[in-house]
Amino acid sequence: MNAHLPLLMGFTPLVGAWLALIIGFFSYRLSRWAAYGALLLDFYFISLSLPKLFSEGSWHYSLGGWAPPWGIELVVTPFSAFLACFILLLALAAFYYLGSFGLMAGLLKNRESLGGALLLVLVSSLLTLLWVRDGFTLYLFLEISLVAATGLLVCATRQGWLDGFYFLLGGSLGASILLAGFLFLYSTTGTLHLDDLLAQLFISKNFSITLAAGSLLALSWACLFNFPRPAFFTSLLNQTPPFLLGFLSSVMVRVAAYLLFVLLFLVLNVPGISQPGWLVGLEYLLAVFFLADFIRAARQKDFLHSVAFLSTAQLGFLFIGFISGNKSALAGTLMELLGQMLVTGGLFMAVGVLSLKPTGAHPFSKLTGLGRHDFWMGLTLIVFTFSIVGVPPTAGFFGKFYLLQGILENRDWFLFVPAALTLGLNLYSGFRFMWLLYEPRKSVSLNAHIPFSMKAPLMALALAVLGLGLFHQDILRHFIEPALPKAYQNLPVPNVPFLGKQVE
Amino acid sequence: MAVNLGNAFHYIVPLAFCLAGFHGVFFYTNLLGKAASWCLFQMGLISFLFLLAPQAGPVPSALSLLISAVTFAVGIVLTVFCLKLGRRHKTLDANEIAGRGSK
Repeated sequence: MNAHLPLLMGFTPLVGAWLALIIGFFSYRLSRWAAYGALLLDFYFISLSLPKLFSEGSWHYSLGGWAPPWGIELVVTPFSAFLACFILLLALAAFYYLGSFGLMAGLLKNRESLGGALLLVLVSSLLTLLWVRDGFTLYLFLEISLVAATGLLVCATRQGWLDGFYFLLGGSLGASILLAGFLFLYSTTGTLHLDDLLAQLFISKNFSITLAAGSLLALSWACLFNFPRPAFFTSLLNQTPPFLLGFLSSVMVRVAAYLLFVLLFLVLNVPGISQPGWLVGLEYLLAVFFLADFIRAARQKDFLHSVAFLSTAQLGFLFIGFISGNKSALAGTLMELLGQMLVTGGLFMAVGVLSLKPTGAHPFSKLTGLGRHDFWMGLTLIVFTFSIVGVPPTAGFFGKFYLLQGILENRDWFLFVPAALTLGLNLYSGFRFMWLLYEPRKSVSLNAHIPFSMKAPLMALALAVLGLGLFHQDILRHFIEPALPKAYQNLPVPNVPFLGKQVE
Repeated sequence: MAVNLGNAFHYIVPLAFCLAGFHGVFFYTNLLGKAASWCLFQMGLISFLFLLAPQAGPVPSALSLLISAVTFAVGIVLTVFCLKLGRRHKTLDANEIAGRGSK
């Protein structure tokens, strides 16, 4: 069984989805346990793979031994396995809230078990996206994940058909542009394999093709990166249960950001090419465009809308890391990515836990004095806020620390100024939020007691945010550093005998 | 940067399909029109592969089949959404449906 762990890690949730769906016809409770079982079993398989990943590095696994596009090759790296653990943790939390949301919103039991099965399909496709190594399979699983996410949105939302249609259409158009980028590369290199593409582009040194394909591959994520920006997804935001928004914006959007990192740095080798000035300017504007959402988040009166803006705004830090592109900045970006997954998911789920209704308005005034009324809930929100602001010892602090270090190493003041201003603004907004939480007066709606069972997943996410920060040295050494481009890894370069001479 | 205009003429059909599809997704107000435009974009990619096929062996033909299958499957899902929305709102005009939803 150990030889096939990459396959089991990717497809266990998919098998679990079928099981949960079929069992759901007979017993809803048993269906829920089957879904939990599939997610926990996947955790177990990932933990089994870690010793081999630590000792031997990346694990290459070919399905049926066929080369792409006929076969599927999976490559599990220590970082992608670690990221998979975060996806599973958030999926467990989302699935847990699906049950309580179903009770609160009066969701039919058969819809609930269908929702669970779709969540598992989504998890399976996202995990496979982390590990596939050819352009076409990447497109295929992206489409599967989009269809599953749309199904989940429609399943949990009463009036979600139009929003579901737009989500699927926008996402599919993005996936098509991604495929166009890969086909463009295929027409010039004759390969779809990501590692092979890197080698072919390196040999041909065809920078114009690389830039054109890179632009298409980056553009393809536009729809997902803007999810759930209130300007584009207003109706979806107001109607979708917050736990689902949290799962999609933390997991799906951040997996997309990780894939963009893989494509830019491990396939196209962006630091190795010189970019035209207009493209660099456009990249800077893009980072500032996303960072500007922090201002919009601070101006919101609705907690859910503020969290939605925070979700998109935090992507700005990732883009800053991609633009800087040096070792410190990329290490900070990957650390920030891990922290953002937990914080974004946690904040959306907190909105759901704190609101008395399944959907609708969630004004900040309802949170007045929450910290005094409910110590643990207040503390959990403080941990999430500190991670966004960048207060030690949270994951957000170390991510931003390395990111700023990377910017300063490049002496890139055009990136440093917006990043520093954003951190200053976040400090102010964070303390204003804390003041609201610990105000002496109490909101009337806080009389309702929040049961521990509802807070427990949030507290687990907050603990994970702290754990990431406290053990950042180990995470950097064992997971993040091996995920960086080869040029940034402290690897002894072997001397390869070539034509009787030792060359590097 | 030298651009080979011969390539642009050779791939004019896929380019036209893709541009028309991309334009249609954003500018049609009819939901079915949007879905059809996305299919047109996919048709552009498939025709691009057909043009590549003679030089590159069996892979482009296999890929074009797979892309057709994906387009068909996602197209069916989008059509189901359109039918559901059309039955509920008696129209497929996106602005009209969104207007009714916000009331």
